[in-house]
Amino acid sequence: MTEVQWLIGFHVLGAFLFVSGAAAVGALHALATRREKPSEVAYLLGLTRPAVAVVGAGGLMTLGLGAWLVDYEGWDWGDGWISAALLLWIASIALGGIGGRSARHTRYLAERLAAEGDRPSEELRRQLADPVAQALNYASFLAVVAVLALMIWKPGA
Amino acid sequence: MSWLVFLHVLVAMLLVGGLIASAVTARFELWNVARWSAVAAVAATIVTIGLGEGLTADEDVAAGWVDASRGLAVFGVLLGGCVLAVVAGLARTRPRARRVTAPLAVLLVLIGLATAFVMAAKPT
Repeated sequence: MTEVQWLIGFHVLGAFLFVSGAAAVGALHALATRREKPSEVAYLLGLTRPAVAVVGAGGLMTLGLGAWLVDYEGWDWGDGWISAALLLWIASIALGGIGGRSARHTRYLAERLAAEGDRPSEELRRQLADPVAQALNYASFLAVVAVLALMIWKPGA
Repeated sequence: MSWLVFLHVLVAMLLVGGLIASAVTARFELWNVARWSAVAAVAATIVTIGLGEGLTADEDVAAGWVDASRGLAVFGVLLGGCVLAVVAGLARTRPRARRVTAPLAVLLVLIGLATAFVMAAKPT
């Protein structure tokens, strides 16, 4: 195998970890929103942590090897599809980070409520269904799908 | 052609996501969730393989990496995913099934990633 084949292989592997991890986080979060008991909500939101670690590792791998590929292939950072992909990647991380912070606060609330009797709570339900946090998470995922589209079509390359 | 590639890769990423969810939930003994995540991953695998076969026919590709990735997808991810769904279902009542569910899910995640690597790097 050539060097560029190794680079592309691991770059795509990183992208898989990034997107697959995000899909797993989304699935576990969606499950948590359907639970009533705070202890179950806290447990399911806690399970997202290993998947978030996968997202982080994949994100860094994708960016590092992507930068290496740009250099190796002699592409220009100013090319529209590369700069747009980089901006969308940053947007995805930022939006996911803000949405993730909201989920973390929801988990803290669920843990507190679980320790105080584990009764269903309107406040917890409201936080789980927070439209702003949901919009941020969806937007983060859509940004990553847009990066994938740019990588496949490479408009202007 | 590009739409086929896009959907093929996107669904493959979601299927690995389903396997990661299955591995995490099996590790923490949420057997029902692990089972349904595995079922969703099997469904996504069938779609991914179908799109991949469409791509192969469209581009008339015949290469070792196509056969290798096809073998990994069918005999690794698809059959393994079916076994995982069954084992996760049994894990609710059988201790032996409990021990193998999470390691099997992790193994399938690794096979899914290996398949993606082979398809992306296209080793000759």
